Amino acid sequence: MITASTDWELLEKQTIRRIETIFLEKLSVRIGSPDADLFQVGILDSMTLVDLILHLEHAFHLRLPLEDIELDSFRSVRNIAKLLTDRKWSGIDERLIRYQVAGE
Amino acid sequence: MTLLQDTVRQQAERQPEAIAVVSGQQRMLYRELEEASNRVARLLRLACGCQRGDRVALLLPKSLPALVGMLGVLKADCMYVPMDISSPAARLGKIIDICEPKVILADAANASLLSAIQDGCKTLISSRIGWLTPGAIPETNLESAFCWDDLPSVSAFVPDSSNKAEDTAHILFTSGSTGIPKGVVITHSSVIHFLKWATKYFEMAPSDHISCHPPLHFDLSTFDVYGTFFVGAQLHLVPTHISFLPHKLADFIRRSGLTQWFSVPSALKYMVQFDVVRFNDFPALKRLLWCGEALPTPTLIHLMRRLPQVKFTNLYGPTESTIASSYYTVPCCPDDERSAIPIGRACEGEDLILLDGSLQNVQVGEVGDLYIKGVGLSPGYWREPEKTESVFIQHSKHGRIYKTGDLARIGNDKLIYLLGRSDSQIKSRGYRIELGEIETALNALGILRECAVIATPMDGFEGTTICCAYVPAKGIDICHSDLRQQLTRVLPPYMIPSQWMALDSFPLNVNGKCDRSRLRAQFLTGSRKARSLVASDNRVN
Repeated sequence: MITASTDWELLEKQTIRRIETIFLEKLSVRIGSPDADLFQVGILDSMTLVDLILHLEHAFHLRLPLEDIELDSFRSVRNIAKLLTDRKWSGIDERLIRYQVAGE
Repeated sequence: MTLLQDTVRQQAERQPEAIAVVSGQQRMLYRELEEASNRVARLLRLACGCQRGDRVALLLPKSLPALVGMLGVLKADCMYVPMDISSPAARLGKIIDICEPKVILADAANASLLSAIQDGCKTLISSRIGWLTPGAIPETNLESAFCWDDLPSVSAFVPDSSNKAEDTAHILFTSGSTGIPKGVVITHSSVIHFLKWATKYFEMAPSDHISCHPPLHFDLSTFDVYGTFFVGAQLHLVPTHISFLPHKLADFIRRSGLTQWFSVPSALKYMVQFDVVRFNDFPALKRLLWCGEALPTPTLIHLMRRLPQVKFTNLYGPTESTIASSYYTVPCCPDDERSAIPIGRACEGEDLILLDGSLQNVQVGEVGDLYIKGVGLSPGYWREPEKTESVFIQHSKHGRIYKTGDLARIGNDKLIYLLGRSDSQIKSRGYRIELGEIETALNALGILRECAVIATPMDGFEGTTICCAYVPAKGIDICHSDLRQQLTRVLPPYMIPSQWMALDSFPLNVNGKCDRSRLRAQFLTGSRKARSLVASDNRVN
């Protein structure tokens, strides 16, 4: 179980790093800052978003509940990390994410 | 009806209080659209000194002000140039330099883009700005001529006009193989001819809710916009961000009660891929049209089974022949996933001609170069007589014809089937891309010894993937992501390669030239491996 808030901060930080690696290795995109607006700087469009979703789902062993997700969740790497570590939606195992992040 | 703006004027007289455009929570009535565009036309003349034949560039997203602006420009006897605001400033600057607009119609959100364009653009300084957003005028170095709040200060009455049907309505820029975008000149009459045929063929009516999915710099949107106004229906602007998420897109079609959907195939493939179209979904939908590239037959079958009440029509035609030149309504759901969907037969007033290398007609079943003749043909490229003459040719038997660059054959069913390209132009997500434009941009960076941009067909729903193989210049240390980053400053997002490969030297063919087919094979093997890895537990089938 992850309880302390610092654990969550650590988890978010690690998730951000993992996402940045996916961008770099899979999409050849270097992200300047976890808060950079991915739509505004032309990094994401409808096609790269699909690729990104598929890579995220593969890397984190999960299926994103796309029907409930707003586009803002993909606006920055930090938002994506929040989405992936969101405790609200079912099917996400905290330990699994942790394991995935740690196992990179 | 001779001019495009007449479509709105007629509806404003016939049904002034009917909804013309829906954009998010906003609605605009035909009367409002007519009056606002009359006012913009007056301001273009009064505040900017616009005269007949002047160009006005639109640096606006797909929105109500953009539509008001387009109509206003036409009513001032000028021609509009819709700009792709997702393109980098450097590329937009080239377009500005080519068409030398008297005025730029912009919104506050694009003020910084405007300043960025100015940095590398010689002629922008002589343009004046009309701000089509309410509120304060953004700070720029450029001269502001008027803003949205000035509209009520001028008459809403129809301004005088002397344009004729043969005059230019707008210029649409497409990719040019030498790195310079080409402006396709479109006349009022070309569009009106298409509208007359299409509104009749598709039985469009005032009760229709029509989608506007493509951006306004895209040829397809001309039909959405003016087709809607022609029949007095409702135009529903599909917000750009909705296209990113297939569930939202499907939901938009449902909630807006769309009766007609028209887009490039990628939007449809996207919805099918994520399985968001239910059985008997979109109960109001009557027609589903696509254009720009082939819709894969399995996707078509999936949609036809899910939407049995819908009529499916494939439209075909390059920008140079205005919206579309041929059509094919699929008579029944194909039972074979491998069967080819034809581009069909010519629209009224057009002709599709297949010629061999010596410009003689080919026989049924033989492959030929596809030429188009008829009422949709553009007068040519803006201020490019040589480029115009190279593809708009005078044929001894057929008269003036346009060489599409597509290869095709006539089937035994008398229908035309598209087979591919005779040059290096590709289609990706419906966009026309000259691979030469990407290579020119890469070479101009000055950090590569060699580069080759190659299009590979992928098995998935993405269609064509743009791949780049390169050899860095001596002493230059560069990685894929840096190269990609530099390219985004000069090319629009849809032209950026998604696969990269760095090499010490290029493989050569027997002639000592870069062996592109070997590079293509390497890209294909690489992506199949990656795909099978990702696909093993994923959505990709």
